[in-house]
Amino acid sequence: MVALLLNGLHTTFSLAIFPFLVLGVAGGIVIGALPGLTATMGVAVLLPLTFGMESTRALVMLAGIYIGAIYGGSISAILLKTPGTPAAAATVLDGYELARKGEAAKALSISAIASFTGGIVSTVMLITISPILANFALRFGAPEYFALAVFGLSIIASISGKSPVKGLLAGMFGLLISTVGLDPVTSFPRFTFGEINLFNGFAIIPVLIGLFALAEAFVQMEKIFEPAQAVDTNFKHGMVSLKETISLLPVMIKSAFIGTFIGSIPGAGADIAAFVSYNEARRTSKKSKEFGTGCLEGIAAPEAGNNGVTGGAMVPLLTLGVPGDAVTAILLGALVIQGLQPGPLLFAKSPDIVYGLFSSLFVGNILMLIFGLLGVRLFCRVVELPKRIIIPVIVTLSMVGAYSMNNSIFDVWVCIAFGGIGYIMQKVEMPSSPIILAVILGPMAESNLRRAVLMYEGGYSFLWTRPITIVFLALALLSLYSSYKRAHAA
Amino acid sequence: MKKANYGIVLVFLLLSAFVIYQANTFEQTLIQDDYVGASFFPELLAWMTAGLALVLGWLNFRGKMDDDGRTLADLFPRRMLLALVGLGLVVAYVMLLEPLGFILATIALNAALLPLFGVRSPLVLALFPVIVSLSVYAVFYKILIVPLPEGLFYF
Repeated sequence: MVALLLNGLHTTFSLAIFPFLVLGVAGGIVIGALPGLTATMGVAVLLPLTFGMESTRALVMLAGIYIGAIYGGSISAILLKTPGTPAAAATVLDGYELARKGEAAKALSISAIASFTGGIVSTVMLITISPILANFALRFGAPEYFALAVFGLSIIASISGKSPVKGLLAGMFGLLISTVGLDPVTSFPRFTFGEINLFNGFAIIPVLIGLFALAEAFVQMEKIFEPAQAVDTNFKHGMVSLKETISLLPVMIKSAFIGTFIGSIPGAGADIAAFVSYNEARRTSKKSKEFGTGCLEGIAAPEAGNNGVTGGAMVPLLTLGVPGDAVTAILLGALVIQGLQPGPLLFAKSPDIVYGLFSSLFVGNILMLIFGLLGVRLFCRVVELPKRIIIPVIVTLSMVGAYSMNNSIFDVWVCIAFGGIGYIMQKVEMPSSPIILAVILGPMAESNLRRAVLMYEGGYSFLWTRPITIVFLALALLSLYSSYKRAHAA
Repeated sequence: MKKANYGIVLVFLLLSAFVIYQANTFEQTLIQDDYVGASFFPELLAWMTAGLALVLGWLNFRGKMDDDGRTLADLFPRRMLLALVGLGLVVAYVMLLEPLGFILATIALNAALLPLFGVRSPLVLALFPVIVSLSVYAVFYKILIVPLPEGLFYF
């Protein structure tokens, strides 16, 4: 294996491959940072460029875009409260708060380091224990997915800020929103009122941009004539210190494991991993009260978690030929286009390509760290711009971001509506993050519950007869209990 | 904040009632072996929402919610008008997006937002909207090949 990896590294650093990896990572960061452009979209948009390329070169470039885009989402999340991708929604909670305190450089640097840690740990796991992870992921059926979604939803209480009841109400609102559209089993149109655009429900991107970016823009418009907040631009002091980084290593490594595990389960992506990692970090932290106020752990955990998914999602793709998330589904297409058949035989038939990909994930993560840290100074300039200049840019990017996912004006209206809702919610101190989590997990919870009930012919015994389901439901109860204890202590 | 909390309770109770009413109109489709039906999940959520809203109301009534003493006038001050005008401009922008096309509509939006935010420099007012509009157009449309509304003038 070592010889194959060294050979892969040799291939990655060759002149024919390396520039494409650099291009992929840099392009991915830019795409991820732009609101509305997800990693999936980035890989999909640039896929046709790889059709004429040699297999390794094509895969390396697409993998680079994937790594870069998942990290890039955190840049706009931290600086503008506009998550570039849904995977960065959890990073907003503490990243934006830290940036507001004038420590944007610290937030951005820990985000880059945590993303790097998540990416490297997940790549090591991909190389070493991928067959075990893949076999475990294959044991997931509808009941397990339902239990995983319930566990994810239990996090709502943890990200609700000062008032868990208001957070839970926001979560319920998100779950109700997720029921709009065709029923997942019978295809009966629910709450669509004859509007064809609602048949697929609300798209996550316009809701996300509306609740975070546009709502914040409206809040800032209100304060436009107030004096600007001081921003720390002394980068020697602003970057995260070595001591702080070392103290955050356990959180980052734990979150990376969580991300890899979640990524290896087909259908569970970086957004879920980020929220689960955030919740776990908060549950076990000695500084749990500081979460949501600009806490470094609150940035490191979701960032390590969401980049942990990049390696995890490759596990079922490469070992079984089953994509772990939407991006790896496109990568599966890229592999097939290149004449390769993912699955156990890929390791035997094309070890050069597989280990070339593994090596490029390593090198890609290192490049992402370099670009991330070098870019801190440049990215921070955004915070220094006056509000009267930055708000029109945020509004424009929000509109384009909402439109670009489906090229739909309807999505732009959805974005504006949720911008208004988010604005009012900020006024009455209701958190918006639970809505996002619920919109992501609601369809997963409902469709898998319905499938499980069908599998058990109307019974619910799957809730207490399947080990993985029991473990996730127990974890959900534990998560709710920890949140209750924390709220009670506060 | 106390009055605002009662407002939240009312809004969520009305939402729950609406969802339950609507869910009761869902018809059974040809798929007869679906044990729970299309209305099960929304109805369950609506009842839970109503329950939580009542809990919030009760906690508020008992004074157990954080009350910072802010009144409705503090929460919704006069300067909120700025945000409302901003919202109005955004709505107008979306209405103009398809007839005018992305570039012209975006120039118009930015040219309208800047004076609202107190920008008076003629140079900034003239250049900034054009630069923002063309930069976003170049990145999304030209580089990333994301189709943007073209309008009457095809740009």
